Amino acid sequence: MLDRQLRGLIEDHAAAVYHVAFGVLHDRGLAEDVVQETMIKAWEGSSSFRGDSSIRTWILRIAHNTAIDALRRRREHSTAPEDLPDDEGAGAASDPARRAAGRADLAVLRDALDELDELSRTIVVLREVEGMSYQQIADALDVPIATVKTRLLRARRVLSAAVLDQETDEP
Amino acid sequence: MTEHDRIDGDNSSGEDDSSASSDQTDADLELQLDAELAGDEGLLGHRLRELLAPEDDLFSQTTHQVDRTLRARSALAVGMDLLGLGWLTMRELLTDEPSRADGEREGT
Repeated sequence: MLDRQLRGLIEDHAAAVYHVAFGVLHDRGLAEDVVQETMIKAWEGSSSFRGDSSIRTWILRIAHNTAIDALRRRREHSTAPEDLPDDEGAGAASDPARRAAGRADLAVLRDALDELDELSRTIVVLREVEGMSYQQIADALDVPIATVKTRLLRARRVLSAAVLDQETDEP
Repeated sequence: MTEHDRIDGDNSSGEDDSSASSDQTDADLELQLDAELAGDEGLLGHRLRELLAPEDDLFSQTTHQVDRTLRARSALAVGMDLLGLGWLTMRELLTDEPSRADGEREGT
């Protein structure tokens, strides 16, 4: 039986860690592995948490670094693009009908997300999905706040164009 | 290099940045950036949440896997300790060299 505090850690932060990991990796299985690895690292390294930032910021920094490491490992094992898992993306859509309907338009967004570099992907996820402030994102990713803003603006332009194109194409 | 790159400090385009602007201009650009970022991106956030949503069993699956990993590590640590202890014991039994404890006793 897991320690109550560790269970609490997983309950509070697993979804946010998953968002970051999936945003970087675009692979559901690898993202789940990153969630587990991040939680173990956070648990084992909790004594090194100094409280300079919030625990969410600290965990998401671990998550981002772990996801980037996983991405590097995957690139080193260089799977041909056509062999990569075609992750359906709409994970919450366990309802098959909704899943089928949502797959096409989410695929467009997924492709647009692929056009961004890893840092920009993480920034846009932390801002748009997790609702973090620019300062929190800068702290989590250890980058200047100006970098957060400029990358976010560019990312939004790319992604919004994809989303709006999809919206206008829909009958 | 774009104006945004300059605020960003991202000079990856490799162009000469000899025309450094004043602090006032930088502040203006940052204000412009903030204004552009202030727009409502609710639809984008909604779509991203859909795209990145985890499976419903993420919590239970993570809990299970983390528990299994920590147990395996713990068992491995115990195994290594026992192995180390066993090795020391075997060495004591199989070697003729007097142990440090014997030496200390003889010395007294």
